[in-house]
Amino acid sequence: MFASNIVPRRASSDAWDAGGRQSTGMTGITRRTAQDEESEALLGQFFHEFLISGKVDGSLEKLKSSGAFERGGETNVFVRTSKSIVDTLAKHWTTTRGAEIVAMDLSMAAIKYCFHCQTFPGVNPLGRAAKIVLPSTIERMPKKKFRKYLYNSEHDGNSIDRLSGLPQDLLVRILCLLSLKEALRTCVLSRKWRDLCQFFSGSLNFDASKTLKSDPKKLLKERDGYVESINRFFSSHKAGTIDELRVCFDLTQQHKRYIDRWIEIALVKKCERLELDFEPCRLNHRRDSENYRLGHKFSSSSETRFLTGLCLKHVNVSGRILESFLSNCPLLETLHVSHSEELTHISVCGSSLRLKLKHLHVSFCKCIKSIEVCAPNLVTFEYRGEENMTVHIDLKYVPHLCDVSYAGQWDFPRVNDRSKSIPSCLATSQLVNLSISIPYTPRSTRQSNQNFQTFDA
Amino acid sequence: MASTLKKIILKSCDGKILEVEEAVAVQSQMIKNMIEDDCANEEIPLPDITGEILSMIIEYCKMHVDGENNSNNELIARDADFITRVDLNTLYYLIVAANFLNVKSLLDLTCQRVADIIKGKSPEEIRLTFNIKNDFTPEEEEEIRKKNAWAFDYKD
Repeated sequence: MFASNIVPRRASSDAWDAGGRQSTGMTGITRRTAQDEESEALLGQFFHEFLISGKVDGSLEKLKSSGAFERGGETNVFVRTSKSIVDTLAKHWTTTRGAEIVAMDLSMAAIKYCFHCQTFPGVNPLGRAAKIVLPSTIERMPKKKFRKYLYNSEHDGNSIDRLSGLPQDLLVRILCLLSLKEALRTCVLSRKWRDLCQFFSGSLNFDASKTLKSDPKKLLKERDGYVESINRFFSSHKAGTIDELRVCFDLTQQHKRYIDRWIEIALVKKCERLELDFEPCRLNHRRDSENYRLGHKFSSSSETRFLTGLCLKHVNVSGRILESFLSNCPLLETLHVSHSEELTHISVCGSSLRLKLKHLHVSFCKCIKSIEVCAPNLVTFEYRGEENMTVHIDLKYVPHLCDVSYAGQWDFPRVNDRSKSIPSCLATSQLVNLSISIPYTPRSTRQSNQNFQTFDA
Repeated sequence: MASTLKKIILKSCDGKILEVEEAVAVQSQMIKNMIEDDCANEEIPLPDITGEILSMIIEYCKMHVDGENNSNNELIARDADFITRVDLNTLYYLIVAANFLNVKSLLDLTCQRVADIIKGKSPEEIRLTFNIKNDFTPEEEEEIRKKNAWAFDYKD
């Protein structure tokens, strides 16, 4: 940000030195002086034109042809008016990053020039120049006094866009503190903001469940737009890591090709939480078999090793694939599965005590028959089922389980011996919350919610 | 090792000279590095930071050093108090300066403040708040909105 103050004189001054060596003594000086006077006159004129018209294109060419950029050192006409001008200009001229940057800096130089001269007859130079200066150059300005003047100037102080003037990495830093949706909305602010979202590295929360599906007739079109929007986002996304991928909209197996690709990219970017919620929109009755199906591709991939949370709603996933996920995700702490018609048996049994799983939630999987849990770190277990469904739940080893929530039919009432009616492991665990709801009171999901310090059957 | 009472001398771009205890100054990673490299024995010129902004940053760093033993909540409350007293104009300078001096907690705080101001606002309101000039044609803007319709069609 202080580049303008420290940029050394480059090739331009070398060129001059070479020229200087050829000429001799007084002649050289006289020649230079004459040229400088000419340049100075030209510059004055060009700056004046530029300030009145606000256009830099022509002035730039003329300045260039007058040799204003070609010399450094104390002989440069810029130096004589304001030393900082030449540094800024020389820097960007020699880096040849295009006329646009030079134009920006030229306009900045113009402000500096005007400031240096205090006034320019007949025009309000600061006002005019400020309007055409891109704010990103403001930070390069070395003189605070000058800035203050610019900012606090009565006429223009309130119209300067200081935020956009921050360096890009700081703007991205701010963007990453917003939700993806809020960050994407900033794309329309101005050109400067348009592409900043490419560097968004927070939680990629593509949650359209609230914003779209206004009209079922528009669903097909909205779906296409939504899918395309995510595709486009990923194809230009430049951040190396992301915290989370969350896709929430009425998508089906038809979109598998895209969804798979998104997951793949997210996993490569070391995504920690993955949530797919493809809940059908209100009036779209789709068969469960049309649900997106999560295949082996990811469960057996080593890219999943950063996952700490996996949430699948209205996604068809089998017990085998979930087990495979569990064995390939050493950091997985939360597993949530709902509305998967393929899920019949799920066995959450870590191959060793390393299984980190703390939260397990299984709900509304209409074909589910059994759940077997052997998880040393499990804290909460929640099951919800539909009426008339019987599921066998076997909590084998859950020493840290303290929060159990159950709604649906459990196959324990058939056992006469009361001590066997509740999984025996619960008797030894530090159960704090037990909530059981049986299907005879369909309106209430939590019939009883008791606090247990210790649980003795 | 230098004693903790060693003073670091900072010079702002408008010539203001501030003496700061080392313990406070090292909140800035940049100054910390300079001290470690033994480059902080003379005054450190800060060419892009005014005395006014520099005083605020030192106030902030002091607050953090003095509050080291306080609870986290108390520190958060102090941070909040500090940042809400800052107007938008000053906020930009603080961000640039905190970035330059590499005071991470202050950079986080100031960026969060801007994010909080952006949150919940429509693009039009954001432009108005920060004086951002819309340099898109209406067609271009419409095109961008369409491309991310799911993010713009907000009812939440």
